[in-house]
Amino acid sequence: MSNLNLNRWRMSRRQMLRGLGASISLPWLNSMGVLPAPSQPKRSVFLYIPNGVNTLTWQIEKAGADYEFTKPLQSLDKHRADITPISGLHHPMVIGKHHNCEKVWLTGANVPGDGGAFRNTVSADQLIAEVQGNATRFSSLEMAIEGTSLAWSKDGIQIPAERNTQQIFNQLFGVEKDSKETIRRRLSRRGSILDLVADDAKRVNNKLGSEDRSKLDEYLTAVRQVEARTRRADEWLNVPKPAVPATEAARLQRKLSMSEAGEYYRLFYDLMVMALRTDSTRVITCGIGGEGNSSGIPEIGILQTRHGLSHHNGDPEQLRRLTETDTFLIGQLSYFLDQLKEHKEENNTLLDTTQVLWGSGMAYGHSHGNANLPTILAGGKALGYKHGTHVDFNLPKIGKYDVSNATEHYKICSRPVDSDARVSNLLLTMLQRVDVKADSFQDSVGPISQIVA
Amino acid sequence: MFLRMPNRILFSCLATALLAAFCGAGKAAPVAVLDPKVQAYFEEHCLKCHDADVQKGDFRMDTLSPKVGFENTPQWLEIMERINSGEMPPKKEKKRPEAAASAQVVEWIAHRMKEGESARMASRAKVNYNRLTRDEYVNTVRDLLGVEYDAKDPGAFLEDPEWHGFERIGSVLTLSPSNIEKYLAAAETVLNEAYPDIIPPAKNAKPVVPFGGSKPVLYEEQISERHRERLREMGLLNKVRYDMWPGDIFRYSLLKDPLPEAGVYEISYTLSGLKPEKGRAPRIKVYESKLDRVLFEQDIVAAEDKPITVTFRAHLPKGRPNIEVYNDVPGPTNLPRSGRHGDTPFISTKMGRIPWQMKLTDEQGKPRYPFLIMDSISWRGPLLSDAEKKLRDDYMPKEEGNMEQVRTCLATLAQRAFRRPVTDEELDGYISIVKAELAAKEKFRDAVKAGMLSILCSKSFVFMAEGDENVSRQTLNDWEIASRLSYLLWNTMPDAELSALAAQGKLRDTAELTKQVARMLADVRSARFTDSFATQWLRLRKVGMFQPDKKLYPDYDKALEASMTGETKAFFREVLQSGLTLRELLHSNWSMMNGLLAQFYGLPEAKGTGNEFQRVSLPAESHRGGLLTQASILSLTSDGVRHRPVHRGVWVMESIFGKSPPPPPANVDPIATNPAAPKATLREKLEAHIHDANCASCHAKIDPLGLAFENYDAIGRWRTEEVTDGIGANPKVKASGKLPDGREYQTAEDFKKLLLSDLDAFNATFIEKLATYGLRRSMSFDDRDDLKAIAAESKAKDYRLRDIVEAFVCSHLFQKR
Repeated sequence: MSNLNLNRWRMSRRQMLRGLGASISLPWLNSMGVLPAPSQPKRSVFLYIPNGVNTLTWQIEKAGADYEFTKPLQSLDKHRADITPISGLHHPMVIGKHHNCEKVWLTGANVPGDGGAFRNTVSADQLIAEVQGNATRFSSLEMAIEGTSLAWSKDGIQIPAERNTQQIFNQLFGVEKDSKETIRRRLSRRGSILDLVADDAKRVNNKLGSEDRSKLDEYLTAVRQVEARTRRADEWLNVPKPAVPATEAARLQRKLSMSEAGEYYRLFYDLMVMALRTDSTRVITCGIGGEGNSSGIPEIGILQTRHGLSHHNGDPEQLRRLTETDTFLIGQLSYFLDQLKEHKEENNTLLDTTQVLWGSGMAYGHSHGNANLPTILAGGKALGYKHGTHVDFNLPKIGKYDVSNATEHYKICSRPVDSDARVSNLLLTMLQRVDVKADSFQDSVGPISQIVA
Repeated sequence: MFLRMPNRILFSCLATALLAAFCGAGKAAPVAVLDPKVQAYFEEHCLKCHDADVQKGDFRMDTLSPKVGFENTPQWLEIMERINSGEMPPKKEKKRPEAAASAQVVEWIAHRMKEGESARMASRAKVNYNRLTRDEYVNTVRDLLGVEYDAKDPGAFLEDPEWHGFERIGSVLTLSPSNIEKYLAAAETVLNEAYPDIIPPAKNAKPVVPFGGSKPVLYEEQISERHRERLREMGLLNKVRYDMWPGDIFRYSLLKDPLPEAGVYEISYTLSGLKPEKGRAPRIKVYESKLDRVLFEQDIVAAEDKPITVTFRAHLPKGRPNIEVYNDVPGPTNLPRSGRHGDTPFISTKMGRIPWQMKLTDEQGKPRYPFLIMDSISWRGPLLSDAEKKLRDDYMPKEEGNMEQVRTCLATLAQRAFRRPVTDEELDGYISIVKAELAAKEKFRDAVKAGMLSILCSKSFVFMAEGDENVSRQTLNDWEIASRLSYLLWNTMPDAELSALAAQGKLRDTAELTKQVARMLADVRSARFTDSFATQWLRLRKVGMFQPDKKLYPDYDKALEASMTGETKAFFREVLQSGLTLRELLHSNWSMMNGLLAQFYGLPEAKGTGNEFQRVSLPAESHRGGLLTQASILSLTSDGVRHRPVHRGVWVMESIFGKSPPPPPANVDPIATNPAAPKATLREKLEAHIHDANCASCHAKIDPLGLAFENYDAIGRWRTEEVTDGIGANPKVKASGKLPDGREYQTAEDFKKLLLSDLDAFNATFIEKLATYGLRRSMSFDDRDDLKAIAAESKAKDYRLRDIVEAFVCSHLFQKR
């Protein structure tokens, strides 16, 4: 936000009504068009981990191709050619806004720091779903292991995430009990009911001043979108849901809980892989944990919540445990990448056609520092990525890291070193890789050229 | 005012402080002049670079509207953030302002922003639409159709977003496509239960045997042949019981027949519960695993030879539920041994243990662990009251194909569902759906159900509308008052009496309103108000949000957690229903206890304090009394490991004083870690942190409000020393402090007395919270006179809670749109 542009402040009263949350939105929506879905799948997965990491043990110190993985990241070594760790990114508008970083990780919107009315803006995954989602049964899939959804609609409304694995399985692969005709009748009945209730709302809406009808607008928009979904469900009725082999189906329908965290995490990852393999969707968001409610990991002997651990106050034991959880979470990511690699389609692996973003909106949790965000981009070679290096936006300015000086390193994790190194640049790059026509996203400065082939 | 802060350093707040600050001001909400000190600050530090002559960064300040918070809001926000972050005035300036001066400006702008925000949130459109919350939907559907909708089951409704704890703020309750899909699915489920398919009995079919009856814990055939014959010979075969160790599961609750329909079933368990002398009572928990729902739980104390029967109702789907019964109490699980009942049926503890089990009783024959011993289970249902049946009959035509009747029936449903009269135009729409369905060869009943479905998905059902799209009006009409009142006190749609009064136009009459308030508070449904308002105002949903660490707090479990919030809700209800005053909320010599909580507090267990909450007197040394030292309030701010004094302070500030601290400055140095003194108390560590002047000015106002409770740990247990890691004696805690106005306290008790001496401040906050809840919006400047009038009325009635509720309902504010 180094350059104040007065035009930016001109906005309609309606935006104002939505509270301060929306007051710094850029008019990028106009610059985008909608493309028909391409035939070759271009997939995206977004994975959020809460509360940052132990930045002292996390930080990769060298930029470029011959970087060394730090201890918690070791399990990614085998994926070296398929990933890019990135250091130095931040969302300018949530610096110092505590745990609000979770809501805006994929949107970059401004959050009022005092808890005032907040209205988010659209998340990157939903822009991708608009372009890539037309070819699949589900335009996008929102799930969460713990915590809430990362996906936000164009109206800034959170798109709820499913946390129940059996529900996710049923949604994707469950066979309808009713006959096709019965379902078709039900869909058509729903269609005419939605028409009717929309007309009824429109009749009133037309009499209200255009400035003052946001709640009814919300209702109408939602009804129209459900109508579209209903039509889509009807179109897909003749295409049977993908049949999952019985043994796999049984595995994917197990009832697990966080008391066996590893198994439980892998179940979610397996469901994601299956959703992508069967081309049920091409866009997935998954909150791995919430900023406030991410449980401990009993199997590695850690019972504290991740939030509790992140407020370690420098206690070496707490820091050790935090590193252990970081290591665990990266191990799970590594597993996910393994699975994506295992599945081939034509000349590519599933990983080659899937861009995966893994990261947090927080870096130094103890002080709610959210600069230098832990960020890993993986996969998507066939989408035009160039992996294999550690891209670092801090080093050009600071010269070198010194994690033995905790206070100094925490500063890097709390205040942006390079104010142009924005998460929005990365999200813009990801949008462009999957054919979203966008020149900017939120407060982006430009795409990250280092990672594009 | 309680916090005697300098006038311009008021925290942003809604009503309380502003009543004083704006006393006598006219109706115009925005203040059109800058505060002189702020003005001076800008002139000295900002305008040099941002005025008519110079516009660094293309930014000019002198032309901005002085109506801060109302006009040029983004610019003012930007200015506030830049000063707050220390970015402006630039570091290279020779003459930089003192941190305190900058903080003052930031707070002044933040305050104005809050005013503006409140005004915007409360801005009057011609019609206000407030979506029903999840709870309100469930209650409304129950009253409308006599069907229980399980909105919290997996895949059902989502949790509603909240604003400062309030879950019913219209502008915050958004609506996404998922909501509409879920409304559709919910209405289909509800209507299918109310009007199940009628399957004509096949010829020569056996008459249907009604569902229900009793079963022993184990059917004879579940007992192995060897034992069956042995027990038969001994005459004990009908004496077989089922013993449950702590943590044990019992899976044989079902009768042989599946449940014939979805509906409400009554289930009874006959059982004994053996409580060890110095331990917790065993606890039955009945859980449906497919629905992931706890159907019932209760502590059980009943001698082995004197079993009792507990009965509850549960709404269940058709078919075979997956019911698991737990003895849900911490204790030696004896696993894997306790889980293994072997095939030796249990008869009595007197017959001793199975060889691989631990001892069941001590030498005196008293139980060593909390055991549940099950005898039998009985089922009844689906239950449908005459009133519920009548509701359903009201909406379904008696005569197949009679379109007249369809119209009358749908009109009845729509009028009740919309909580107002329906227009012909609206009805025509629903009839057209029925006709279209009939044309598509649907059965008559199904076609009518489609008409009902469209009513239950229409905007007029899912939103409570206030106002008129054709004319602008400032007050509610009678129907809207009926809804506002009914959702305030009962969380549901108006009943027949309220609707009749609305139709007669009698609800703007104070005498009638007073009568209605009395009637509604006397009804059991008023517990919905006390529970839900207390939960939202006091943020009780935060209790247990961070699961307390098992090692540090081994006694903490869901039952204790429910007892903690139960105390607070029961306490609030008691203050309301027994005609007590706001003083009790701040401090009291009594509270509401159940057995578990009394044990937790170390209070003498009053006779008969089992599961139900009872009013008990608190001994002088109990360290309890009033809301602030209840375990729920003390734990809702903790992080599962430690108590958090700052969060406690913020809670007191928001819930008792109705103020919110300004946002923390964004770019202060990260908090340094200070592990040097491992045996330091949290308070000492905290005090070591506050070195930055930007932080200290606010924390001086927040922290003393939380530090008064240092004698209570993260789950609200009394303590005199703080458990800290490391070797050596634990440090003593210090609960003394000094309020920003200079008054000092030594203990939590003192602190409460300071609050009591300033009851008007709390009175104003309480009324503001009640109004926010009742009106579903934040209060703004336009409401201040009305709020003041209610506060005065409260004071005149000696702050009696019941009178406050009545005064609120009869106030001008309540009738204002």
